[in-house]
Amino acid sequence: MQTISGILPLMTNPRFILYVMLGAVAGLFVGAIPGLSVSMASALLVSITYTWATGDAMATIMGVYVVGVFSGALSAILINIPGAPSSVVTTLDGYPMARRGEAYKALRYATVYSFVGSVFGLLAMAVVARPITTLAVRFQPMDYFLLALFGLSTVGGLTAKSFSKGLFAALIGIFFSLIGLDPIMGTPRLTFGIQNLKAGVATVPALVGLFGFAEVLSVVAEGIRDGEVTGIRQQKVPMGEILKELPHSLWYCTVGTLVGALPGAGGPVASFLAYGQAKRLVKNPSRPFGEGAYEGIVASESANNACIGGALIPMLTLAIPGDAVTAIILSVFYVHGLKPGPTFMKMDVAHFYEVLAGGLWGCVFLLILGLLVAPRISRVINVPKRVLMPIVCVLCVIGAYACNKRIFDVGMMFFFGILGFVMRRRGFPTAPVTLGLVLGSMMDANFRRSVSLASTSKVPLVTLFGRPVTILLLILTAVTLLTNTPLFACLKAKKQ
Amino acid sequence: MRLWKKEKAQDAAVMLLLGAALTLHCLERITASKVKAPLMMSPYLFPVILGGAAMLLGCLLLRTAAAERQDEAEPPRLRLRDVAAVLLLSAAYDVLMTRIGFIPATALYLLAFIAFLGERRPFILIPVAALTPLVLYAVFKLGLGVRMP
Repeated sequence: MQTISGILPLMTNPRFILYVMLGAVAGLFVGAIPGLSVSMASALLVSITYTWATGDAMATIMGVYVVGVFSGALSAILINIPGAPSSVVTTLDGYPMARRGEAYKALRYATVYSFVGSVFGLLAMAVVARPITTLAVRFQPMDYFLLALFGLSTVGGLTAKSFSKGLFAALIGIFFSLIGLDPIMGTPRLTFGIQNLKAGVATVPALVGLFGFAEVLSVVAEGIRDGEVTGIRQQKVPMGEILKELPHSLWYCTVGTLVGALPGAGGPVASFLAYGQAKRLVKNPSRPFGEGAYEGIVASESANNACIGGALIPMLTLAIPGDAVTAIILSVFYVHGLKPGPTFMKMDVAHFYEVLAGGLWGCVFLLILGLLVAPRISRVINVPKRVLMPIVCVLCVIGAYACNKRIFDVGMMFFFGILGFVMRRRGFPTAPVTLGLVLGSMMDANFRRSVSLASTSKVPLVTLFGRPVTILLLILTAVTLLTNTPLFACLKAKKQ
Repeated sequence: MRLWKKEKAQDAAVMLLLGAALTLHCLERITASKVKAPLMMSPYLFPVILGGAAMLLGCLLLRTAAAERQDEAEPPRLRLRDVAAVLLLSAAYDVLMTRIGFIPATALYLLAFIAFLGERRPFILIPVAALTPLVLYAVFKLGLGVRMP
């Protein structure tokens, strides 16, 4: 009830709605055009919205986020290239449907179930956020450290083929977050005599480089290849027929929300898991899975959009982002002087409502744009990359510069772009770098605080790990780390 | 045929080296520090742990690289010369921007970059290079109030 009365003024505020709509339209194109990503757009938006009111910034970013995740399905269906990593699974059945002349039908299913997934995830966030906050208020520094470590170890395991590479990527992010003045002692650390590094590595140029410039370099390295757009022929697809999949969809949404809430997992993992569930649940699909079954699109799109609300839960209540985009949204909060975490729902509840209302309006625009505009923009999503990529570079430069007005940051953006490119080439994922970058200094401060508190205690181990929450987090982290070691793999293989 | 195993071993070696370099640098900073803070509060404690963890992960990767026996397909050939050219162009753009300003530098950058990527048709090349900086400036600086280079 409190939440409804909180979001109602925003839901009826024309200015707020306009900003969400702007974000939604931008998200539709950004998500749909391969080479542009929601992470990239959000990173650029951090610098663009730097001088805006927090509410306007939140509205725009939520519009981009919700519609951007959905619109990745457009290029997945029409040109067999996912516009976003979370739409990879949609290509499996979406493109075969388009080849058969059912692109319009595939888009309808993708739109409706992206809407269902997004609304489900956001409502779950509205319901769950408050209880989690009451639990999180009791967290001690060591709990925060372990929670962040758990998130990084999970992301390390889920985003790369090699666990070591995934976790190493997170360590790279933590390393860069430690550069600058030490928050406890106030002395410069790891600056290597570079004056500009005393202020630390700015998050926005780093993110723009990792997700924007690195993408350009990857496209150039692989050679410019433009996809071929499948034509769209309008067909009659009754809404009643589409909604028959709703009961299954609710299960995929639950999977998506839970995976989203797991720090670091995100849309790609959720859609793969949901697709696996669909194969088990749907005994008689319209066509075999992978050959144009709309049930596959329902699973993928419900789950990856439900991730949005799921990923926002740990970000808002614990300041631990669920995926790369929420890591970027977290930096928007910091840029605007807000502190997400256990006290967020008490101190800044108005901004929680902004996120929720922005997300819900984003869902409305998703439905409108998806049903009315998406089938008509098939030509636009195939913008030649040889024209698009240079423009993306210019946008990256603007984004990197705008936050701190320093040319040095443009150089940093280029550096992170090269780093991201090299990492991708060598099979290191870049998403954990983002999480490490955002969480690193928090981990450092909490670790040292807890160790220093324990060092004055007579029973230091009990002070450090003696609480039930700490023990639970310790076990979870240890299990995640140990099950990914080669020794465990050997034992498992022997057992089999 | 190139082996992925070899690449994995190379990656592991880099991880080990970077971890060792970070650990040694931080230990050296701890011992050289004039302010004698307790080790637990030292700003270099966490980076030392980080370096150690990197070395451990390097060892784990090396272990898996050694355990693998199968040769896999050769990775796709990359156009690294093109990447180097893009980096040079971008560095030049960075320098030019501070000398001649955002709009002319961006126009030149786009012209060179788009032409380099293979688009030679003047009716696309010239309008895109000339109009994009103006549109971006109008939208970002005048419309959205973004601070521009």
